[in-house]
Amino acid sequence: MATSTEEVFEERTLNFRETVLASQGVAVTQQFIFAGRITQVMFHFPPGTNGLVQLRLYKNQEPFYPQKGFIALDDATPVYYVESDYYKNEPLTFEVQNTDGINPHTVSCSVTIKFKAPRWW
Amino acid sequence: MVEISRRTFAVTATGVGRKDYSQNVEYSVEPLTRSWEETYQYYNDAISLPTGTTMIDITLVPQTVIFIYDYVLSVPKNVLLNLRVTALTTAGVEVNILRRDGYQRVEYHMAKGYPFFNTIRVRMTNYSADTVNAILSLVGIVSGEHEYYLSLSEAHEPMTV
Repeated sequence: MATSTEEVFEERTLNFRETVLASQGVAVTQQFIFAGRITQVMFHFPPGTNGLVQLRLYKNQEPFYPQKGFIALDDATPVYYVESDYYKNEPLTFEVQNTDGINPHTVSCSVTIKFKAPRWW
Repeated sequence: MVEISRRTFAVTATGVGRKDYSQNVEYSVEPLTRSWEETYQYYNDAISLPTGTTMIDITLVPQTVIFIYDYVLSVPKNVLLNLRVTALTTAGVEVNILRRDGYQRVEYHMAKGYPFFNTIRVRMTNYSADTVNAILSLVGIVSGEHEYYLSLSEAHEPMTV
């Protein structure tokens, strides 16, 4: 008797939210235990950053988005749809450079990974 | 979803932005709150009006603007009354705002209100031979002096060439 098996895909989001002091930078690395595909990358710039806060996402220490340079906006939450393989425990690094000489800023990055869930998940 | 490292480093400042809302900002990019207003009412029901003119000075709180839009003078007798309201500036200049007559009641509604800054001077004239008891009511809105001047500057239309 033929049985049909349905593949179940799950999505998890790696969230980065960093408050960076004036004239400071920070690089935070996270990883996820399952392999899958990165389907979405979202950045958030609150009002007030004035294009002075530069963000970049690295995958396995290589620039992932943007691949060249940094993204620096104001009062924006751009969402980028990607299809990129993600390997098990591959480090994802969120780098923030706050070139505002006076104000600290809180910026965010959200990476969505689609993966095949094992039975025990 | 495990943080495995964190590195902090210095960067060169290239400009100055604005505070963002994560820093407990007490003011927004619009620096003055102009939507909240408090009602002002001067109500005096114990005015004795002998024959002739009685004057009352109402001193306002410094640096506030009171927009008076309702003026009411009422007596229990059918006598001819005159209500005259003037604005007294800090320099002592008196500006005529309202002058109305009526029998037993003088009532006037000013749609946009008149802004009083320093002192409101009210003159009530009783044309009868009898002394009457009067009620005076002035109703308006309290605003800030700075907000008032800001609204004036915003209301100015730009010049077109």
